[in-house]
Amino acid sequence: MYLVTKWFGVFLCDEKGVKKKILFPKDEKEISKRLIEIDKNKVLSEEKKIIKNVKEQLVVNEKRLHRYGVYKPNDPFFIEFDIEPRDFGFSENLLHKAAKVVAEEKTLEELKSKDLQIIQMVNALDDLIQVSNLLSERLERWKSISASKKKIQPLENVFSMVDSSIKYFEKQIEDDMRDIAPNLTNIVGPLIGARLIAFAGGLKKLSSLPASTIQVLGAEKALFRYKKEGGKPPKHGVIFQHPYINTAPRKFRGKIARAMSSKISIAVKADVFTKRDIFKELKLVLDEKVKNIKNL
Amino acid sequence: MKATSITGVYKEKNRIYTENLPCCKGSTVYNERIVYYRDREFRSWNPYRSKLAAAISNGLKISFKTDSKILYLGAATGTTVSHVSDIVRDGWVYAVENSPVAMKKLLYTCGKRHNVIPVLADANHPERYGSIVSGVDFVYQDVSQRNQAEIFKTNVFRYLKKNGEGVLMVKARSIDVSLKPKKAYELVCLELEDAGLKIERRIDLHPYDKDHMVILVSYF
Repeated sequence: MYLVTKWFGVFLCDEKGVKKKILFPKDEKEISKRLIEIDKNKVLSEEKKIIKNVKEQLVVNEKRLHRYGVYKPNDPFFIEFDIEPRDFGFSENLLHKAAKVVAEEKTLEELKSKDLQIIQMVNALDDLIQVSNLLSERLERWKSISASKKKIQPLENVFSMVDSSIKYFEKQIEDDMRDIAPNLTNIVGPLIGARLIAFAGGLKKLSSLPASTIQVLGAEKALFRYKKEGGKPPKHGVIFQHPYINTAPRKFRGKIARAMSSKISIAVKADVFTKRDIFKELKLVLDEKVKNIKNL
Repeated sequence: MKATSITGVYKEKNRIYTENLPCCKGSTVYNERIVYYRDREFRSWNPYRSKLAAAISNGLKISFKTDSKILYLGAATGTTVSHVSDIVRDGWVYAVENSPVAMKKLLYTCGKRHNVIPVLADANHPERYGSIVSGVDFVYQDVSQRNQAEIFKTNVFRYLKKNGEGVLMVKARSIDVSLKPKKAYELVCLELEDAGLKIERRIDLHPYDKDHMVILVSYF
């Protein structure tokens, strides 16, 4: 027996056709609710109900249902056998409406996630720092030729505003980073951590990157130059901003960057998946390693 | 305005057009030009904006019918999706896109189109939209991922009907920057052929896109 879940119902089939069915209500809200459940990897109540008292071995084509039957995604049955919604009185117009609700809800949810806010914040912070440098330079020059207080005041106001926003964002990024990625924050600090997330495009994406990629995040230009034209590959990307690397002698920087990125990759994985605090152990190992490298 | 050999695609001078859906009369998706001809409304299809338009301008023949079901992977913000939905007026376009930012725009541009079914999912895992998509006549893919041949294969095997066709937009730069584009195309074609897909045509998208190639594949 094959267990097939479609957007309009749950079906038990064999080679001859549909044996048993439970249809969903003909309502876009009800259908979208079920589609979201499926997306969250949950088993629907209809699915549990239909397989009750079924003695035969079930075959499924979704990993989500692997507990209830053998997972065979490439079984020819699933490819050749199609259940038409129209045969059960469902029009695809309903699917269009339901899919729109699902997509809207999921987009909203994903766009709300904290790591996307952090990316915007850290990019805003970098912009503000640039502006602040520009303004302070201008103010210095202007003051050196003795400006009138009245004329220089507006510029001073903007400068102090930019400075206070910088402090605000730094604080906010630190708070949010400690919240969503405590291990990462404790190992490299909130700002470098936030920049790593920004380069990867999200916390989850960062967690799926290998350590070797994390090591050169932010040095894409140098990396692709190396891949295209040869020469030397970059040793470090944004993690260079960490004092471990930028205060070390040149010849050790590559080695330290490698050790660090491997620990970062472990830390992020813990932040995303197990949510355990492992930074103390990681930090100990990392400090030991850096010490050994420097004593070579 | 003349019909071309491809259903739903029209031509006037050097430009190609599709006829706007009745539900979206008067509205554009990306500020394209609207032309009226014998009381029908046509939207200009810009080959510099859409790789499918570039491929058609360079001589690609695709077998869309007005009631085809199309699986569209990498829908992005809906530029090309809107024209495909113009062509398959009585069919369906499953528009799969992974980025929530792009999906937000897609919902805005194509939400009114009654034959577009938006799916926010990763094309790497076709089974996650198994309850929504089923048996399609055509698979169109434009995802610029390194493993795009693999993504294409898994989706074709799971959802494409027998005797169906598929189109794959290969961006050589995303396969491997250190390879020559020709070599990258060769790699993709080999991978598809090894999986038992037949390569019908390969067309370079020059001058509309740099280092891009469209591959038309049939599946038996």
